[in-house]
This record gives sequence, C-alpha cells and structure tokens, in this order.
Amino acid sequence: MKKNTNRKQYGKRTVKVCSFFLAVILSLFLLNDLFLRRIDHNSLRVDGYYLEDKDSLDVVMLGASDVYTCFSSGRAYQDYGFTSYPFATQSITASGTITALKEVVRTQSPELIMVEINAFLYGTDNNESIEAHMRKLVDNIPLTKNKIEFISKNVKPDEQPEYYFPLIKYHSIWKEYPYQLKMVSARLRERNRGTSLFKGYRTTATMFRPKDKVLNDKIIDDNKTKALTPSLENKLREMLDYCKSENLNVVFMRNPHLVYKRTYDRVRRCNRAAEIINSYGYDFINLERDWKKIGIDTKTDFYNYDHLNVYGAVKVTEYLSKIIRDKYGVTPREISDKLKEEWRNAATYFNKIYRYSDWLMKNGYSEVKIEEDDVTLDALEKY
Amino acid sequence: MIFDISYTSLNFLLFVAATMLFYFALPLKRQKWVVLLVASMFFYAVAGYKYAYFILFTSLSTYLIALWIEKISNDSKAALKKNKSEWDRNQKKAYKNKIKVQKRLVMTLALVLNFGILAAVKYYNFFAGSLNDVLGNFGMDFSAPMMQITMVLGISFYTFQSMGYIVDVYREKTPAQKNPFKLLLFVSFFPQIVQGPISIYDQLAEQLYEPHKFDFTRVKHGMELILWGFFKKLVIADRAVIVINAVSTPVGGNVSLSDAISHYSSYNGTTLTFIVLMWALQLYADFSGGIDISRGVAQIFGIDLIDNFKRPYFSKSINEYWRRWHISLGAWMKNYVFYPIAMSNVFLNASKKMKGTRFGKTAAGAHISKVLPTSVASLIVFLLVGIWHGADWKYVAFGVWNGVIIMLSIIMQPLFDAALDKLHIKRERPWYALFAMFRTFLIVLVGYVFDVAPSFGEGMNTIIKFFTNQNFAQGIEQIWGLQYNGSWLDYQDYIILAIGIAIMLFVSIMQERKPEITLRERMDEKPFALRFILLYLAIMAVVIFGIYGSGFNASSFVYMQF
Repeated sequence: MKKNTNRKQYGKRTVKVCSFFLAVILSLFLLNDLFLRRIDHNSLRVDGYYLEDKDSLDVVMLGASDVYTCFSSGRAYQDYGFTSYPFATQSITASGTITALKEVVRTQSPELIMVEINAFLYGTDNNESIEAHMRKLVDNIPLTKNKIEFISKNVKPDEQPEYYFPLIKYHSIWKEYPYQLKMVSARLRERNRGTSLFKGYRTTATMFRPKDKVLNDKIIDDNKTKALTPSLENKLREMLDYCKSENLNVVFMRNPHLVYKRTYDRVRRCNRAAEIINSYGYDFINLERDWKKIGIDTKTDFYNYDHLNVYGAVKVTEYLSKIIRDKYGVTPREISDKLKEEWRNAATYFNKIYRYSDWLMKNGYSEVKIEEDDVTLDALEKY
Repeated sequence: MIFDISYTSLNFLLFVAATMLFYFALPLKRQKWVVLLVASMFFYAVAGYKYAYFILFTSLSTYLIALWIEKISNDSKAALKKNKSEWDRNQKKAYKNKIKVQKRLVMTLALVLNFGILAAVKYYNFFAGSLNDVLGNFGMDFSAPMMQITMVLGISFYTFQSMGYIVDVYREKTPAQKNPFKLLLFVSFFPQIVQGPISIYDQLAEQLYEPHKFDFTRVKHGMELILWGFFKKLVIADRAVIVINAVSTPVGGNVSLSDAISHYSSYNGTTLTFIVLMWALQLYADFSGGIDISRGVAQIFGIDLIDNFKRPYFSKSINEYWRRWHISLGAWMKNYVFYPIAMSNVFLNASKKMKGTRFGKTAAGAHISKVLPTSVASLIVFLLVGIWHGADWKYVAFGVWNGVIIMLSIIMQPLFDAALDKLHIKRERPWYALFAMFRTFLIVLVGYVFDVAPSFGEGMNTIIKFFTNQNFAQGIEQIWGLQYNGSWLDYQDYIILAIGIAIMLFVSIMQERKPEITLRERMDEKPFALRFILLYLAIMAVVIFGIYGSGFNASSFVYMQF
C-alpha cells in the first residue's frame, strides 16, 4: 500500500518536473528562434530560400547585397518563366559564400548557379572576421553539417556556443521592442505563407547623386589586374575546386557598381579573379563592365555606389535573364500549379515594388527602404 | 583559463550537471567523494591551470605538517602516560611546555610557508613598488625587481582555509586527515575555490567525504539558490558595474591608472555618491550572488556551506555589519587572529597594568582598560582584513577606517549609552533602528569609497567632494551622460536595475523577518502553480535581462581577485 502511494507521489512529481522543464525549454526555443534574435531582411531572405520547395529552382544566385538589389526573381519569372532565388546576405564573407553554395547543393538542384564574387575582392581579409557579416548568413541557416563546418572553421572556440544559441548573443534585443515585434511578425507571416513574396529582393528608393568622380567609362577597356589577398584567392580556389568536385554548373559574375577612385582597385582584382575562374574552365560574366550594354544610367539607376535601385534592377534582370536563357539554355522546369500561383504573386509584388519605388523617387522621397517587412507590405497595398 | 568555466557560464552549468550525473550514479558509495575530487581537480585545471602547483603545494604541506603536529601530540601523550608515575608535576609541566613550543614551531613552519607564498604572490609587487617609491624619494638608485605573476585562482581562500585546519589540528580541535586526497578535496572543493566561503574543517570535511544520496528537495533547493545567485550576479551586479566602469574608465576601454584617476576627478560629489551607492549594490549582489551559486551547487551534492551573508545593509552597527558581511572571513579572523591577540599575555598584562594606574581607577579608565585588548585586537584584525582585500594603500585605508570605527565604538560605548539615556531614546524604537541602519550604512559607504576609487588619493578627494561638491542637477546630467561614455546602459537598464533592487529588498525583508526558515522552504508550502510561475519567471528574467554573452563581457566576480 505504502509502496503504491510512494510510486504515485514519484509519478506526480516526475510529471510536475517534466512539465516545468518542458515549459522552460519551449520558451527558450521560442526566444532563441523568434523573439530574441536579430531579424532583418537577410533573415527573411534566407528563410524564404529554405521555404522554396525542394528542387523547384532553376537558378540560384549567391553573393552579397549587390545580388538581391540587382535582380528580381519575380520579374524574371514573369518575362522568362524560370524560377530563381538570390541566396545572398549583406556583405557575405568568402567562407560564407562557399557555405551558401554547399547549402544550395544540399537543398536544390538548379540548372545554373551564379556566384557574384564581391566577397573575394576586398583588399584585406577583414571582412572574413566581421561577426555581423558572418552572422547575417549563418544565424539564419538551419543546423546542418555545413553550418557546423562554417562555425568550427571561422569562429573562435569560446564564441562558438553563441552561434548555436544566438539567444546568448541577442538576448538584450528586448530593448528594441516594440520595433522588433514588426520583424517577428514579418518572419511569422512569411513562415505561415510558406513562401517569400519578394523572393529575396530588396531595394532603397533613392536616385543617387555621387559626390566623387565616377570612373565607369574607364573600366570598360581596363584589362589590368591586381592580386587578390592570398587568403581570399585560396578561398576562391577552394570554391572552384568544390564546384569541380561536385560537377556543378556554375557561372561567376560581377554586378554593376558606380566605380570611383577609392573602389577602382576592386575592378582590377575582379579582372584577376576572372583569370583564375577562367583557368578552371568556368565562365565569368562581368556586368560591371557591360553597364552600357545593359542600358544603365549612372545618374538615375543607383541608390548608392554599390547598389542599383529598382530602375537599374529591372534593366539587369532583363539583360541577365536573356543570358541565362540564351547562353546557358536554362529552360523552366515543371512546377505545380500552387508554385505557379506563388511565382505569379511574386511577379505581381515586384511590379508593386516598382510602382511604389517609382512614386517615392518621383515625389522627392529618399532613402525609403523597401523590404519584406510589415511596413512595406502595408504600403504596397495601395499599388 | 583553458576555456570559460566561470560560475555564470554555460560550461559551468554543464560541468555541474556532468558531476551530478557521475556522483549520484556511482554505485561505490564510500568512494563518492572521489567524484568531487576529480571534478575539483578538473575545474582547477581548466580555470587556473597555470598556477596549479601552488594549490598542490599548499595541500601537500598542510597534509604533512598536520600529521607532524598530530604525531608530536600523540607521542607526548604517550610519553606522559608512560612516565605518569615517574615524573613529578614540574617535570610534566616542563615537558608539556617543551612539546607546546615544538608544536608551535611546526605550526609556524606551515603558516610561514603558506602565508609566505600568499604574501609573495599577492603583495610582493606592492611592497617592492612602495619601497622603490620611498627610496626614489630619497634619491637612492635602487629598484627592487617586480614579479611577473598574475592572479592565482582562489589563493587567499584556500590558504586561509588550510591554515585554519592547521591551527585546529594544533589546538587538537580536530584530528589530522590521514588521506592526502581527502585533504586535497577539502582544500580545493570546486564550488568554493573561486571566492569562498572560507570553511572550517570540522564543519565541511565530513560532509565532503560522506556519501550523499540523491535527495529531490535538496537538489531542487540547490538549483533555486543557484538561480537566485544568477539573478543577483547577472541582472543586478553586472548591470551596476557598467555604471561604475563608465566613471573610472574614459571612452576607449583599458587605460592607465593615471588616466582613470584624472577621468574620475571630473565628476561632482552627487555623481560620486551615486557611484559609491552603485558600488555598494554591485559588491553585495556580486559577492552574495556568487556565494549563493557556490552554496547552491554544494547543496545539490548534499553539502551545506556556511552562509556568508545575512542582509548586511540592515545592520544597526558596524560591529553587526561585520558579523553579517563575509561571515566566513570574519569567523576565521575571530578564531585565528582576534582571540589569540586579545587573549595574549601581552594584551592581558597591558590591560591589567592600566587598571593599576590612577587613570585606571577612574570610571573611564576602568572601562578603557577593560576593553583595550578587544579594541586594539579589532583594529589589527581590520587592518589585516584591509590588506587581505588587496595590495594597495586604499585597501589599507579601508581596513583602518573600519578598525578605527569599531575601536571607537567599543571605547565610547558608555558615552553613547549615557547620551541615549539622557535623550530618553530607546534603542528598540523602529525609528531609532532605521536611523541606526542608515548611520551604519553611511559608515560602510565611506569605507567603500576606498574600494571603488582608483587610488587612495582619489578616495580622499571623493570623501571631500561628498561634503563640498554636491550639485544635484549637474549630478543627474553627469549620470545620464554615462551612457555615452563607453557604456550602453540606457533608461531601460536603469528600470531593470530598480526592479532588481526592489526584488532583492523584498526578499531580504522576508528573510529578515523569519531568518530561521529559508524562503525556499517557505515556497515549498505554496501551491505548485504559484511555484511554477515564480521559478519560470525567475529563469526568464535571468535569460532575458542578464548581462552575459561576448558582446557584454560579463565581469568576473569581484571577490575572485582577492
């Protein structure tokens, strides 16, 4: 009798203890994943990539911010019928680009992978160790072998737990509430929808007037080269070796920028990178040099030195889509009606973004950020 | 440190969990203490591996010398027994005295060796530097070399604890430990190695060696105490320290002492008062929080460590304050320094001599000669307490300040009593109790000035500013401006700090009203839902509002440096 009562008591206590720890663990999980972590347009874009159905993308683009500001996947689908996604984050590191490529191989089987090489063109290796630039990618990718490999190779041992549990890093973000709530809501809405409306596109509504003398005319015929930093060259070669070993159909590219004195060396490092890439038998498309062919107006099509605004993005999307279709023979794969509907919706949203951005710029607004958050989505309702 | 295993790190919690698993799962009951020893060695190897040989030397020398002392005692007892009938009274007395001297010499060897190491590690550079300054002032071309050694983890704590054990063996209060590994565990027990409490052998050792079964209530109470320690340390102390650092450190981080001083000087009396208050808060929350973590971890393993704090800021006299603050150090000093001095022949004779003088025959003289040994011993004890805190004149000043106040309070006690009687003030009145608490807190704060100020001189300047440079409006402006001075502390943090203080005050009042029963025991009587919510909220408060992670660089425990 006594034994039974004891057993009952133990059972009751076990249930109580388990329910308590379950509640704590669940709360920590929610805080870690949603409420106390840095959520920005990079998070929404990377989340959006993982929300794409497996093997549903024809083209995936990798790189830094100049990828998702230059190219609209929605517009490309509308005009050329192929599905694409910019798996890119702000100031991505070279190591991050390699990890992103491995993630693409793990999650999709695109006909073509395009790699924007911005991360390899820095004059120093500093960008590789900037925590924020690493985190914009790695915080948002799921816990996979590739993520673990990235963390163990690039993060100091004592900081590694913070990459697995971003809550340790970001717990003081409660100070940014209620603003942060908008981003939480945007992430939840995107997850509930199961797809990204902007397909990773982001822009700023500004027509940039550069203060420095623009040297874009000069770069068209400049074939001089400048060495990459040894570490970044090694990383580029590591990536090329990986592409070879996996037999990937990869094209490397450079997107258009406003080049001026301070950034001119990047142009020559880009020429050197192109040589290395070609030596591995891969193509290199230099849209930076092709800016006239694309029809880019340096006075109206940029929102800052490194990024095209929506006018420039439309031109690059058109130009690059043609290359993807005509030169690389990418043909749209069969996708379900549901996905077709999603992609038509994405095209509609890009058209809304275009009209909204156009209205803002023509009415004297400047520096209005257009990304997939609740503020922008509400604003787009009218367009 | 090989990797971060500080008490508030995730690694430490994992380490405790792993130790728990091994300890309670080990089927060999009598060998359970070995798990604690291995865990303690692992902890020390990770946290203080560079100077681990110091603790090994202290343990070994303590072990051997304690056995030696005991052997002398046993041999002498045997000799006395053997010669009981042959020796006359005088022979026995002479023999006993000879043995006493022998034992004292051996004990002194242990004290000199181990306190010598402590002095060399902690104070050599201070004395060498002071000597160089003095000789330099006289134009002498001499420079004592400086030692390149940083902090040895827990050296003050384990040295005091080991030497307490030696004295206890000498006094035959406790038998010498025969197993060197068991003694090593007593010296290095990981929950208390970083910042105490300083335990007495009798009180701790047997608890360490006894096998303890898994006891749900003990484990739960231990975890709750750890959680409370985390709250005090991460939510309150590490938030308050940011304000303090912002005052003593100019923008840009690490600076030389002279830069820190010149920066410190630019604040007015109101701001400095605020900073000293913040220091009082930080010191208490940090130290008592750390001790709560230590006691909580020990409690999980069935071991009760001494409680180092009993709401010290509620003290009504400075004497009481030192019975409530860092209790284990106070008890150690009382046992091993105060009594030997106060009861020594020199002091007792001096007291007697004074009594015999004309002055000693007066009422005041009789009182002074009676309390002279106590008051002078107190002054010496507090001088040592000051020096124990660190190798700097400001700590000497801190000790002297407390010692002088205690000495004066003992000597002038009849005067105070007479004044209260004349004014018809009863000590039991609540308003008088509050006044006494406030008065004591002010005295404590003046002592803290020397703790927080970058130097002794700056401490003196601060005290002068307390009285001459109060400007509330300017002070508020300066305090608000601190957030732009290398600290990210903003208005939300001040709100959290205020809530944290309110919670700590509430808990302290509850404990003060019923000190015989812990709050955790009282909580057990509450409904499960209420306990669930309170514990859940406490965990979330620490997780969300705690200062931790690489971006914030949670500060080390203040008493770790001592």
